[in-house]
Amino acid sequence: MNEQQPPKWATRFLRIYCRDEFREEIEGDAFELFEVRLATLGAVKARWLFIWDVIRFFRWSNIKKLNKVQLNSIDMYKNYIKIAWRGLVRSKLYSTINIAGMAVAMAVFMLIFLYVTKEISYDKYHVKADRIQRVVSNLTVPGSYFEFALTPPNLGKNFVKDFPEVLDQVRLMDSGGTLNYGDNTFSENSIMYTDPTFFEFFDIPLLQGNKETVLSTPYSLVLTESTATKYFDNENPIGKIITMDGVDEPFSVTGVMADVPDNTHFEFGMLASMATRKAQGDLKDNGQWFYVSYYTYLLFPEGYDVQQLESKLPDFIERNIGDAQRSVNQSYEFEFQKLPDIHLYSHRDAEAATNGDIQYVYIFSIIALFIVLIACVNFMNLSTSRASQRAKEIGVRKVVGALRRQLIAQFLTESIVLSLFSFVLAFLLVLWTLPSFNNLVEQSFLFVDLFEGGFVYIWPALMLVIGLLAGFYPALVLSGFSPISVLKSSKAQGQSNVLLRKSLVVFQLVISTVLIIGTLVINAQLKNMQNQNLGFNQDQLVLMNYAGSEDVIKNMESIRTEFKRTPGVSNVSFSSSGPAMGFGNWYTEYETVGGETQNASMYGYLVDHDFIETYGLELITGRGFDRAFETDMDEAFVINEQVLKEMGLTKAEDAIGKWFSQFGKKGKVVGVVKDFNFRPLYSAIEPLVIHLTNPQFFSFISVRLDAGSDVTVLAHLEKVWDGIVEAVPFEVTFMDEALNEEYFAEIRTRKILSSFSSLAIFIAALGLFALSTLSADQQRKNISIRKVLGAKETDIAYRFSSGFFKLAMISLLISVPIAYFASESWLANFTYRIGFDPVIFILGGAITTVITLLTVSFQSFRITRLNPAQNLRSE
Amino acid sequence: MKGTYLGEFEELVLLTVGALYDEAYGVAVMDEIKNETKRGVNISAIHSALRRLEEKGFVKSRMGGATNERGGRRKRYFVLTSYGKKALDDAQSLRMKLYNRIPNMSFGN
Repeated sequence: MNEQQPPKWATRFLRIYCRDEFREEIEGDAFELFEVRLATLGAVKARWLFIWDVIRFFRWSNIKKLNKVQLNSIDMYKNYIKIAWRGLVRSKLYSTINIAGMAVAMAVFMLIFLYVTKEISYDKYHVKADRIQRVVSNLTVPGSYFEFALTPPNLGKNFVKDFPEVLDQVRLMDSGGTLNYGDNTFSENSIMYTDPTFFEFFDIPLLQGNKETVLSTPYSLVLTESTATKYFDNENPIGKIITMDGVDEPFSVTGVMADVPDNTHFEFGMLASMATRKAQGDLKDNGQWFYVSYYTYLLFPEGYDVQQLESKLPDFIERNIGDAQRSVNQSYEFEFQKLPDIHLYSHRDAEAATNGDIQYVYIFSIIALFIVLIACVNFMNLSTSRASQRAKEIGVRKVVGALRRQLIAQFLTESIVLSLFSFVLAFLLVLWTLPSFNNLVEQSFLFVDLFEGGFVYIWPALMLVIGLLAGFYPALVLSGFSPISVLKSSKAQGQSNVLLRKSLVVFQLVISTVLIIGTLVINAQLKNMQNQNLGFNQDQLVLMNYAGSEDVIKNMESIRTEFKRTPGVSNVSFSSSGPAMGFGNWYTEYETVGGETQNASMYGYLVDHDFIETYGLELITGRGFDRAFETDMDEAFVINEQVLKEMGLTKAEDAIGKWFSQFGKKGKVVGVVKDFNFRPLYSAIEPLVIHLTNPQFFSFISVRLDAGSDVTVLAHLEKVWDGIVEAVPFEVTFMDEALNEEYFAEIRTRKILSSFSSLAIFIAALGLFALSTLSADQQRKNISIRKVLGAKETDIAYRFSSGFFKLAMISLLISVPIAYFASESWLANFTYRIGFDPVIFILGGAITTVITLLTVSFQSFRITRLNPAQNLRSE
Repeated sequence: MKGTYLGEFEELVLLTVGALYDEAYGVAVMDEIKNETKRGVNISAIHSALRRLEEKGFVKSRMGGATNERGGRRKRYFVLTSYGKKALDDAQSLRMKLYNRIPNMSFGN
């Protein structure tokens, strides 16, 4: 290092930052000072002061300006944006329609995006999601076939034992009960019994407790966070004792887990150890092959193809269940379902929670796409048909040397500016409508969900894509104008685009019509399901599920008499389950026409004497249960029409007196009731055997109120109830409300569909309106001259609208078959489906046509009303 | 006219440029100010002031010839313009005008 020189790095630094024109003098002065200081102050100080000077010279005015060389194209883009802005401001109607239409479309897209991404996110958060399969069972019994989401309890264990590739298993068993802690009583309808392996399978964090041991001993409970708060507030839940009605042993809380995430195919408030069920004698280590109440999940190695296992299933079933199956004349098949597929693809009996439907995911995605397409078409149509107004500008630009690709860039910039505006507006719209959308879909989406994780990049990308998509065609067309012809004549160019513009309009109308017809079909079908005659009177029927509480069972008779005495109550009945809520499926034997014994699996419904009357079931023949016949308790069966069919009988009378055996009870058929629908929505009515039973099997009270009675009756009932029962709070639902809840998903779908398809036609109409305004303006002279020459206003209006009318007709021709095939394939999924209804198609077609014509004729009448002199005067 | 305001330090630098006449470059101006006012000034402040004065039109500059000093780097010499001289005159006369108005006896101590 040369001490007699200033530090090299400091000089170098100075040279890097310093502007060239100042460098020499600054360097010179600094160097001169260094030399002077070297002589007077010594090398070290001189070097330090040199560095200090260099740092002090590091000022804004001395620093090189990086963007000194300005790119010409930046100015060009500034100009494009300026022109785009002027264009927007000048033609307010078109800009508003373009931006508003696009914004609404984008907002719809965003909302549906939220919904769809949630639906497809189910159970993907488990680390082992791809390795976990749920086993489900198809059970064939003589004359019937069931598809259960459930399996027998020991199936999983046998899989683990027989196949090395099955690494582990976990079972879930959904149950309910009345729980007590201190003075508080809670009726829990979702207590999930499970194996200790639960936390190995599902990634729901355990907040307190040890994963290995929380569920290993009998009578252990793991509460979710919110359940823990419900029971214990802020106290530490660990070690707390909770008792369950009907269970002698107390439960103790061994752990607390996070709440089950929304996007999980099951839900529960607490987990209980599977060992509990074993301790209660309910669950054995083997066998129990026809106790179908357990969800079974299996864990496989990474990358294992489950098809390999499927081929080994018949052997597996024969080896383990073969004899058991033959003894009851039933047979199993098992299927595997990938964990993340369960929510959208599985629609079996006894699902753990209401599942979604991949079809709706598709339908909604298609709607979102269609709406965006319609808005894009609006944009393309409006800009191409406004071409004439831009023709001069393009001509001039070309003459002064604009290249074609520069013009394309200009128009693309314009459309991107537009799509930017629409996006901003769309975000505002989403912000504004999100609460009502949440309400509609029963979710709690937040605005920020739109920007979660990788979603942040979607919106700018989409904004660009939509801008490019919408602007691509106009850009090509407009930039292709020949400058000479454009500048020479004032005649609008782009007549060749008319065909394309027309096809685009037809395309829009087709989409709208298909959407409208589709919505009408879906609406009609869902309404049809809701209004299915359920076969019983659902009005004024109050239900209460007391989950088999002993306190209620003990006091059954006094509750019955006290309730019956309450004014406004016409009847009271206890039963094992409520209609439309699912039943137990039992092994059944019965006497055939020929007097032989036949076995089958039939749903069984355990009720009391007043059930048939309370529900208003219609007896076809025979009698209902009667207290006058003491033997009814042990020997009377009432069957529905489906059982008749199953028995091969055509006349109901023939069934009376045939013997039946179910649920450990043998007796004779005393009556036949008309079918009533106890399995909602998708499935057909199944054979059902109704019989009396002991109070301990009941868990439902149904109270029939007199017509016209009001809520005061409920208040009376509550008082009576609280006087008798301590363990269970008085919580009732009305039957029709409970049913509506069953249909809730469908009602919701209907609402969403209707709102979105009306938005679609709204946007299409918006575009049509703008288009017809434009074409009316362009035809001003034409129309005015006709008027001057004596044409009638109606003729002119007809002439003007007939073009659009033709388009509407063409689109009808195209859309009706599409809508027909689409709706037929959708309807094929339903057991109770509506037939082909021409009214729907006529109505759907009429709606689009009428809206088209209204929009267009509004414009034509506006034009014909104008004073022709004014139009003709100005050039 | 925008930017013709003459700051205290700028005025000092301008005066020094005038006083040094043909020999006014960065280090020389700094040394002169140091000598006359006993005030320590960083060279970069002198440069900034000179550049500002040039932008305002009070001084103009030229590059000197190459010499063996300073490792062969040239100096930038500044000279007062007539506009700069006028600005100094104005400042001076304003000062004198106000100065002369101070009554002889009014020393407020």
